[in-house]
Amino acid sequence: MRYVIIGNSTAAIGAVEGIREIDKQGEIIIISDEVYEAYSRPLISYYLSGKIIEKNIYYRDKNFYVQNGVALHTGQSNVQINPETKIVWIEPGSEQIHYDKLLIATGGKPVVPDFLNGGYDNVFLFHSFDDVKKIDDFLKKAGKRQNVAIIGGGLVGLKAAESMFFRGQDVAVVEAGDCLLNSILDLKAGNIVENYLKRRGISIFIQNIVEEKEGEDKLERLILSDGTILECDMVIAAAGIKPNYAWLNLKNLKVDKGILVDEYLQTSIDGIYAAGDVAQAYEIISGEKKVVPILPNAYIQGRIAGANMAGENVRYRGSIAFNSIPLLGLNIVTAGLSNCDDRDSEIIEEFRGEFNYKKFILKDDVLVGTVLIGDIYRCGIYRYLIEKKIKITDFKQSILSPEISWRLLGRAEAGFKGGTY
Amino acid sequence: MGINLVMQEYEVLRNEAKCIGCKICVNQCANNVHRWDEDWQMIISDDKYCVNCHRCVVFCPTGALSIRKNANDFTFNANWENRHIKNIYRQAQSGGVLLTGMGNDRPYPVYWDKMVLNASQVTNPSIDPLREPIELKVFLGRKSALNEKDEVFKDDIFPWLELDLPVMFSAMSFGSVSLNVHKALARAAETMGTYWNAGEGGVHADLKKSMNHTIVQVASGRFGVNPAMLKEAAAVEIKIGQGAKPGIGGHLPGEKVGQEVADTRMIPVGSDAISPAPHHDIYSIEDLKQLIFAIKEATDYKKPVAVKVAAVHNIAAIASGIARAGADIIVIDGFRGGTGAAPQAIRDNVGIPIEFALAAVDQRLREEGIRNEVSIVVAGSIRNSSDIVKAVALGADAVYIGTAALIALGCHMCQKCYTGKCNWGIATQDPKLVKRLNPEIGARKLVNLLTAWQHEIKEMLGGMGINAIESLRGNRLMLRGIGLNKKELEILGIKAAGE
Amino acid sequence: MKKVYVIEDFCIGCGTCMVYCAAAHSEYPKDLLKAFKLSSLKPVPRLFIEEEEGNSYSLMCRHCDEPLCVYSCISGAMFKDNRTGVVKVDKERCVGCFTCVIACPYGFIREGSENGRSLPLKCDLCKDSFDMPQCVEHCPNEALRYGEE
Repeated sequence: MRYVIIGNSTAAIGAVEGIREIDKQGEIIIISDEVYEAYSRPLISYYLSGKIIEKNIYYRDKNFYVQNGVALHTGQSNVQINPETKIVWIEPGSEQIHYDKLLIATGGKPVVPDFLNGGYDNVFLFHSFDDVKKIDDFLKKAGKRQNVAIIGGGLVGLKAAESMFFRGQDVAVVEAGDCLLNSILDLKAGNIVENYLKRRGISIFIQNIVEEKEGEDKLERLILSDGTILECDMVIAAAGIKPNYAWLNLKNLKVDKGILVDEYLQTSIDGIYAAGDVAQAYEIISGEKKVVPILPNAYIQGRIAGANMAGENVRYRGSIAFNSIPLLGLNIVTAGLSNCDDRDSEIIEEFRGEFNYKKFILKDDVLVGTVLIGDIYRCGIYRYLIEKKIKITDFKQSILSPEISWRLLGRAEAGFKGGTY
Repeated sequence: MGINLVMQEYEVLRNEAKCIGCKICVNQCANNVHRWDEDWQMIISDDKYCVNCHRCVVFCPTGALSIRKNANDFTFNANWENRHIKNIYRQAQSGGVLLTGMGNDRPYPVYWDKMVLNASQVTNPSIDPLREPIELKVFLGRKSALNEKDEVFKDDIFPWLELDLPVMFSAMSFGSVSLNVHKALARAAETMGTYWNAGEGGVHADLKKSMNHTIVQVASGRFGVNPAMLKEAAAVEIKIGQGAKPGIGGHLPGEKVGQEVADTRMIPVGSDAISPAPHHDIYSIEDLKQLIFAIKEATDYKKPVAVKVAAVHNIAAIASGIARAGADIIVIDGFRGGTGAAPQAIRDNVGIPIEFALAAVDQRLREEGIRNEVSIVVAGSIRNSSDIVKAVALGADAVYIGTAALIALGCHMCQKCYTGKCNWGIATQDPKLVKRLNPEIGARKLVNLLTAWQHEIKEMLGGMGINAIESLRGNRLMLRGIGLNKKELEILGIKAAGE
Repeated sequence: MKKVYVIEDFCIGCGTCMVYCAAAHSEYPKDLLKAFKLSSLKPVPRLFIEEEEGNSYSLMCRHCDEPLCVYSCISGAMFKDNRTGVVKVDKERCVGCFTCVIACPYGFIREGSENGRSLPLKCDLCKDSFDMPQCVEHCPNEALRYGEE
């Protein structure tokens, strides 16, 4: 049995561990366009801010590949696949590799706004280890406090802003939407985060896009829709991520936003699986297939895909989005449709101080989303209630109480065991 | 209302240097003595609710708590002791009978402590129980026919209770104590080869499997009595009286009658369970005989029937009547016997010491030649193994322990059983408090206690050169009195030390 | 694997387990008084006492066979020890993002900090300092059991 995995991040590692649970012998080949062993993508901001040393950015121990019998091919960005003959070429013209099962785990690709495409030397992405190493070099060379403009106030943008803030830079965030983190927060919660970051000294420009830019080799000045002129020594593009499958070019591969997979995480092509940020799999709340680009999801999908590639029949039960993002010491936790504010939903919320907020979004007495800012005590229970679509009619009134937990779970599932995906 | 004149009885001393603010005392006190105060940011204790049950003291993980008797005394007056003054305050406030729990706490003489045991020296050898067997088994019940005229019994072997050691757990009803107490008693009795008494109020369905180690009661309220229960039980006890409250009945308030108690007693939930002072069908020895034989009929003459009475003035004549009425076992409960609730005036002033009652009854039955027709079980403050040995030497076949068993289960003798707020999960029906008594731990402790006593009894018997407890029964030569006057020695039927 | 189980009939919610748990994970694991009086950080218990209709339960990490906290960990710091089955945090690798806190379906991981660093706090069965989980060792009513299911 030969397994080929394209991509070398969370889903790929999950797949290796999933395969090895079942098949200790089969050959595993990982092909990656990056030059590193698998590292944790979310940790690049921690690396940049100096919170972790380089060794700790790696997702697994140094001997992971050896221990699991994985042949790792790094720095390969021209992989070719022939699904009919089940052949992979690591690069054009190289030796043919026959695979029995193939996993596409190529994750996402940053979206770069057009105005930043001009070959500027002070424009950076914030997606890979190399990206932050470049930023690090730039900061070290600059030597003095830099004005950093961050384009995009989403998860990546704010983690970038945080790390630059920790590095002592002057940070401004430009967000086109009506609040920060608008993929997971609604206006109210977004404003809390905005106020907090402003209080800590980060400039935030909501509902702004860059109307004009100045600078030749360097982008020196951005003019925003509200007329603000942003002087910038550096620009970081964090305008979003899209599933990275365009390179595949396989005619029978069904795609939508991402690569469509069935409940066993197999794509429309027999023997080819997809997992992680590139895959579009079942999402629980909507009941539809969606790309849910969060790390836990990537690992779990990878692990299940791996097990299925090794011959198991593990059903993927679907995912919900959930995030925990500490920003400059403020805990922000969300799960489900946390930015939902449509009219059919019922909102239970509570402010306990300026930066302490709880919000629960319910539809027909089923929790569909939650946002907790500040106090996140036992928040996992809420995530579980959302995931299991449990009717909470009986204890809706006490959902804000911290002593609610066992009751919720006790009714959630008879013989609740937890810990299954 | 006016001011409450009764001063707090106890003071809670909290060593702040040791208090870690864990609040275990707060959640363990059912009397709400301790509370966390948000303003002070510390635990505040309200002494006036403290009953000195020591739950918080024992549970405090750092040993930061201790309870002291409140030092405030009234001006000394040998006649008007503190307790009299306080009781007057209480009654002047409430207009009610003063209730209390557990046994008589007044400083009456304890005659067990005025009797000493013999040991063999030189002329007869003592026995080492570690090398030679010593038998503690006793059989309770009639050992000979009623009399020649009694055709019913002529050729029968009479039903006996076989005890591996001469100790049983005395009657405590489900209602007065928690179900977990019953579970612990039942398991311990099974393990030790003895019996527990379920008291008036029946046996909970969970304990059906232990019925062959259970003595059930038929008392004046007849609660929980049914033919099936009588047939399944090891023995049936007719309760006429109780040492702690001779002459009066019982009253389980409705608030303690939850579903489980109600089902077991066969009464409606929330109704007061009142056991009348007398059995309204017993006004004579002949009436008692009718009930005894009604029970014998119901149990096919296969179960011994006991009759329990409080030790009162003419106990010897009463016992004789009971024996003649056909009882297999006479249970005599002395005036220091415990209770879940009794009027203080009764508990502390009615009845006689068990030691005198036992000696008088044994003596009388021997004189009348009917001692063999009935076994004697004594109860009412048996505190240790030597009390048991002395009781047997005075003529008892076996003893019942109640208070001692509860102490083994954790009772701290605060005497507040009647409040229903027992912090040790014993005298309560509050499910939260009942949980505090884990019957597995309880049974283990009871088994340990009886095992320890078993060893001690064997040591004492061996020391006297006796290898079976049966041989000690009524052997008053093994006892001597200390500090007793002539009349007391005469009643006890023993010589003075040195004689 | 051996875990701590609560015997619901006998858990009285007294909190003794919490006290010893907090101390066992403090700077003075073996001295209750020092743990609470001398520790630079307030000792925090890893377990939870929940109450429902007068019943209480002392609850802590189940060390799941499929641990969502481990699967969700962004740094690879949360791991299940192959030998003991204990789900643990590698403090050095943890970045304190608390994804595990929201991942745990029981809500059994507490957000906390140590020496100014955010860290998730969870039951480790006291493996570091003791043979027996301290909650079990000190439960006054033997309501906690350490053993196989």
